[in-house]
Amino acid sequence: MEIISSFRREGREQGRREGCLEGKREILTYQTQNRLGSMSDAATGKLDKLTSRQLNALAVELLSIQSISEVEEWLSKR
Amino acid sequence: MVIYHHGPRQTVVVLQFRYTAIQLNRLPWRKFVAQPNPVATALMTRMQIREADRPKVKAECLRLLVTLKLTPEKAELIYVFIESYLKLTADENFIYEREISKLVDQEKDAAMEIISSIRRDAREEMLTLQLQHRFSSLPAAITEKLDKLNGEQLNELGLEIFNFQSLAELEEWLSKR
Repeated sequence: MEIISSFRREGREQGRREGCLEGKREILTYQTQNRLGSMSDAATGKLDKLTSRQLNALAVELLSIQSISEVEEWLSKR
Repeated sequence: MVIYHHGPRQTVVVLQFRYTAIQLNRLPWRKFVAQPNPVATALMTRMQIREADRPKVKAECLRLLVTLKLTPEKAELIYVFIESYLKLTADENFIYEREISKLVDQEKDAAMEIISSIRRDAREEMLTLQLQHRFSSLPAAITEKLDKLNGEQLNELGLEIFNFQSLAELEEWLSKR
């Protein structure tokens, strides 16, 4: 039982983290797309791989970024 | 699996397990689609899936999950497994969401409820971070109102953020929701 409950806990936390990353990417993509246009596939690929902390950093960056190429450049450096 | 103890005179079997190993990734996921079993639903995500079917399988898992009519807590538990086992790329996610939008209304609502509770909070977190960055600290009255916004309103706010010139404008926008 002990093993099962710790497995459940880990699974739950990991899943929540994933759902959480998904939610973060969702709003950042929404903001970027509506203000600056679609980003390249390479940039989208990079975005998929960002950690939670990197996504937070991008959220702040987006406040001052003015073009899609700046977003792509920021992502290419991660 | 057998664990032996090799003593000076004789060898003793200390422990013996017999089990059948199931290799999930060799099982075809379609065989399990019709099974009303929450564990099978979660494990489908680990079965043999063609690359192109990934978003479809995830949507199918979610559909099954809502037809099981579990308690919200149990449904969330199974869903987080699905999320962590079947991570989709942005493109796949687009297809996944389109698949969900094809479900019948009742199933769609239940499905969206499960997904959105987790993702919604993450979106609010992002927006709060951006608002804090713009206006330094946020009064409790504002964070309380942010907690009450639904997914669509959060998206709207996500675009409005760039237009607000002051905290007062944010407050006014929130007061109209």
